[in-house]
This record gives sequence, C-alpha cells and structure tokens, in this order.
Amino acid sequence: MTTITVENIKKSFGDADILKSVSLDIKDQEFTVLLGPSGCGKSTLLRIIAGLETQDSGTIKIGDRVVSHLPPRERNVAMVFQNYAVFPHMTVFENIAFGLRMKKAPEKKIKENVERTAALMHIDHLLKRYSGQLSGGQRQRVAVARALAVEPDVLLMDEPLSNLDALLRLQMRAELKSVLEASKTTTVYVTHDQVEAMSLADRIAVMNSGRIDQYDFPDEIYNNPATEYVGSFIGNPPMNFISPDFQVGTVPNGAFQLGIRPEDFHISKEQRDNYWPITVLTREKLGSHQQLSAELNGQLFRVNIPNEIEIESGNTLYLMPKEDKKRWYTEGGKIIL
Amino acid sequence: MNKKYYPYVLIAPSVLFLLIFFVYPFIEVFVQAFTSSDGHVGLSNFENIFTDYNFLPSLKNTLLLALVVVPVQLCMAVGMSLMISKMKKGRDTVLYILTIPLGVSDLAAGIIWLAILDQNGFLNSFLFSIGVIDQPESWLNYQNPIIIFTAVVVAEIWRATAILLVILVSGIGLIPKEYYEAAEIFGANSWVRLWKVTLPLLRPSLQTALILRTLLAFEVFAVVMLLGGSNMPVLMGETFNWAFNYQDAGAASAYAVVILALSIVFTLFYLRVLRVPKGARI
Repeated sequence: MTTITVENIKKSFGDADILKSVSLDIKDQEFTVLLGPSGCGKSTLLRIIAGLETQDSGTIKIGDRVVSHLPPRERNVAMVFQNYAVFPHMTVFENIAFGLRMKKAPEKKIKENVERTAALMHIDHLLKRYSGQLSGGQRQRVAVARALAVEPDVLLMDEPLSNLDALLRLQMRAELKSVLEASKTTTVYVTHDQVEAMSLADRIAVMNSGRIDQYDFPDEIYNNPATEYVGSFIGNPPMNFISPDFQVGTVPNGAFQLGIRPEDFHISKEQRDNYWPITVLTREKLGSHQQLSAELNGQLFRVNIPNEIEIESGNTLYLMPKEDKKRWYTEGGKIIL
Repeated sequence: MNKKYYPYVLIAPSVLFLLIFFVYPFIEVFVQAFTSSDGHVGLSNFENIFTDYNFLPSLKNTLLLALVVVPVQLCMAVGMSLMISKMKKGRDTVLYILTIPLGVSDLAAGIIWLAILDQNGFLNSFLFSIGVIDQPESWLNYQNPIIIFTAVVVAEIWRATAILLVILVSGIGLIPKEYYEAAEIFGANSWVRLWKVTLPLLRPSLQTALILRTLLAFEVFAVVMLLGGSNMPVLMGETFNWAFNYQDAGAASAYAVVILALSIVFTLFYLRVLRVPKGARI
C-alpha cells in the first residue's frame, strides 16, 4: 500500500509564495497528474515530495511513513527528469543499474531488473552505449527504465515528454500509459499539457498560482470545472464565460457568470424563441468541425459547429446553451452546485 | 584583394610571431642539444649532463617535488572548488582572494617565503618572541635537506594551487545540477555523489589542470633557487647553471630537451588515464 498524503504544504522563495497550503491525497497505485501553467508551483510540489526541496511547513507521508524531513534517498521514490539526467559517463546498463547498485542489490537481481526494464522500454539493444550516442527519445526511455528498475514505492515524473518532438511525444505517451498501468506504481506526473494530463491521469490536480483548484477525475474536471480558472485552462478552446444579462430562464442565486463549453450549444440558422442572435467574426475549419469566434452585445465567445452548416464571417447565427451543460459561477469564480 | 585570402592575411601576424619567437628557438634548442662543442651531430651534450654529479639529484628532486606537490594541490583544489561551488554569496570575492598568489611572480613568491623562513625572518622572530626558541635558528641550510624540501613544497602549494582551483571551479560549473539530483534520488549520499558523479564528469577539467600543473612543476626554478640554492638542485636550475654559469649552451639545451621529454611522457599519461570515451561527454 503506497498512498501519498500531502498536508498543508507551504513554500516560498524570497517574497514569492510558490505553494500556499497545498493538500493532496493520492491513493495506492493511482496515477495523479499535477497540471498547471508554468509558475503555478507544480514542479516545486513534486520536488518537495521527492525531497529535493524542503517545505516551509506541512507534512508529506508516503504510506504511513512521515518523510517530510528525510533525504530523497530514504524515501524510496524514483524520478524521471525533464532533461532526462541520464549520466553521460555511464553506459545505458550502468545508468539503469545505478539505483540498484546504490541499494547494494545482488548482481543477479541487478542484471535481471536491468534486462527486464530495458526490454520493457525497448532499449535492450542499447545497453552498452553511452548517452551521447542516443537520441532524445532513447534517453527518455533510459530515464524511465532507470526509474522502474529500482521498483520504487512512488514514481515521480517532471514533464518527462516536453523535450520530445510532437510525434514522438504522442507515441511515448501511449507507451508510458501501458507501461505504468502494468507496473501498478503510485505515480505523480507533472505537466503543463492538458491533453497529456487528460489522457494519462486517473485523477488530475489543476494548480493555479500555488493552490490546487480542483483534484478530480478527468471527466469531472472537463464537465464540472470547480472554478472559472479550471474551465478556462482545460479544453481547447476553453469554456465560454458569459454574463447572464440576456439569459432567458432561471439564474441561480449569486450567479455572476454562465460557463458553457463551445460544443454545448443548440444551433439554428433561423431566429427561434430563447435563442441568442450572434454575429460571426471568424470561422476556422478544423477538419472534424468548424470553430467560430462570435460576438453578442460586446461579449466574445467561441462555438464549435458541425461542418454541414454553411456560414460566413459577418453572418448571424442563433444559439441556445444546452440546459444540462450550463454551469454557473459566483463572482469569485467558484462553481454553484 | 580576393576575399578568400582574408583569413590567411588576418592570421599572418600571429603566425609570424609564433614562428619567430616560439618555433625558431624551439628548433634552435634541439639543434644545440644534438650538436657537440666541436660541431659534430651527436649525443655528447647528453653524455656531459648525464655524467654530471648534479644530474641525478636534480632529476630526483624535480620528480619528487612534482610527486608531492601536485597530488596535494589536486586534493586541496578539488575540496576548495567544491566548497566554492556550493557558496551562494561572496563566491567571486573568495575566488579572487584565493587566486592572488597566482598574480605573484615565482621569484617574488620565493622572496616572500624566504622572508618568512630565513634566520632573521618572520617565523624566527615570532617563535623567539613567544619564547619557543632561545635564539634565531637557521633552518634553510645544507644540514636540513628535508626542511628545505618542505619549505619549497609549502611555497609551491601556496603559490600555484589556485591555477588548479580556477580550472576546477569552472569545470564544476559545467555539470548540470540534475545529475546530482538524479544521483540523490537513486540513493547516493554526498560521498558517493562526489566519486560517481562529480569526479567522473570533471575528468576533462582534471586532465587540463593536471597537465598544466605537472608541466609547471617540472619547470620549478625561482622558489627552489631562493629557498634551497645549490643545496637542492632541480632540472630547470641546472639548465640555468649550464647556460649562464658554465656558459655551455649545448648542455643547457640538452637539459631543456630532457624536461620536454618528461613533459611529453606525463602529458600522454594524463591523456590516457583521464580519457573520456566517445559519447560519454556531458
């Protein structure tokens, strides 16, 4: 059983509060993604869990063990770094074996684990090479194999795919998902890429300037963003936020804004009851659908429409938000349930 | 003028300079070393110096001095550079202060240490004033070869450790911190990190520093001259003696060739031992 419990972690560098009392409960074998833009504190949180940074206050527990003040090597965690950190002066074999050698594992076990993880990551033919002779993708595989070889309680990954080119990233993402599912290791994964987060995570923690805005399943994050921030960070294009002035129907108490995703509209080319007349500003054909930027009474928003609807810039289109997809937010940006 | 000649024209002055002041004297030394006083080409100059009673002691002293000074300086420089690299504030200031002796010429360095260790020197006055000794003592004489040797070692360490230090500090600065973090995560304590990460990744800098420092150690002269005089012959001192006291340019050149041979042997040794395999660089 390897749970991770993060309790009221605070951290500041100089005057900047990087983490403002963050708490997180990660279940055994769960794949958690810390998602947020750069500077939101996600990497710092990961590094605090790893022990590479020390929190100002708060506790970290791995399983039942409080590890807050233990050095990294006593936490039984493994980590994959953004720029791989594959030791240049060691062969691929020695890189993967490094953690096991540090634990003084018997030679037989080292050989077994190295060969098993290398085969898993499809680098078993590269064991005698040095990292200078490998491509970026191969180095990334070595870094993952090195982490898996030590059979850690917790696997930490800091933007592991962000240095790969787009095609390779897609391929590695799929591969990582199956490898990590099979390894059943509790994993914390940091990324700023929402697609990566949605595709890999069991649960996503969306971070916003030092706080966790929402920690939930990917579907929940997408369908019921807990804050205006989450709605506007997740989804491409993001959720529309519209003031309810011209809303027909009931508006809940305290509602300041309506949140509605671009694909959640009824669309009509003719005027109908309760439909909003919008002016199309631009139309982008995206293959599977078209995306409109539109305007109504000075408010801008985005709408996804099927390819069949013929529309030009400057035309008027009639929209009505789907009732079950409407989400209401307070003036402070919190969802009204 | 045709543009493709520009690089050659621009580099010509420095090439000319090197040819006149480096390559020509270099060849001249070889010619002199292998030409006997009666004009024949041969090894007579080498026979002269090898049979001289000062040759073996000077070779022994020079090698012994390098063997003691270089490893001590290496250890000190590694330790100091690790500490300096960890400093967050005042790092440059400390580095500047530590490198001051580098700016002192070795003759001046010898004079400074002579002023300390001489019979009328600072150390004698100090020990006398606090009552440790009853009268000023003369340490630097022929009866105390070990003290002379030690004094030279101390002076050399004081004078030239910083040359290793600056090379190692810049070398350590080139090692990305992720390697240390990865090592730390995967179970290496600070001692293991030094041996498994820092030193192997520092090999190119160690190589440069050791070659430079060892070659300089073979050319040690002024400090030994001042502290040891004729009581501690070294190769460079003998070269000087043959050239100016005995007025024998051939023998002096032969000494210079011996120093050059030693330098080449040790350079090849360092290149071989601290070799970084292809693809294993940072």
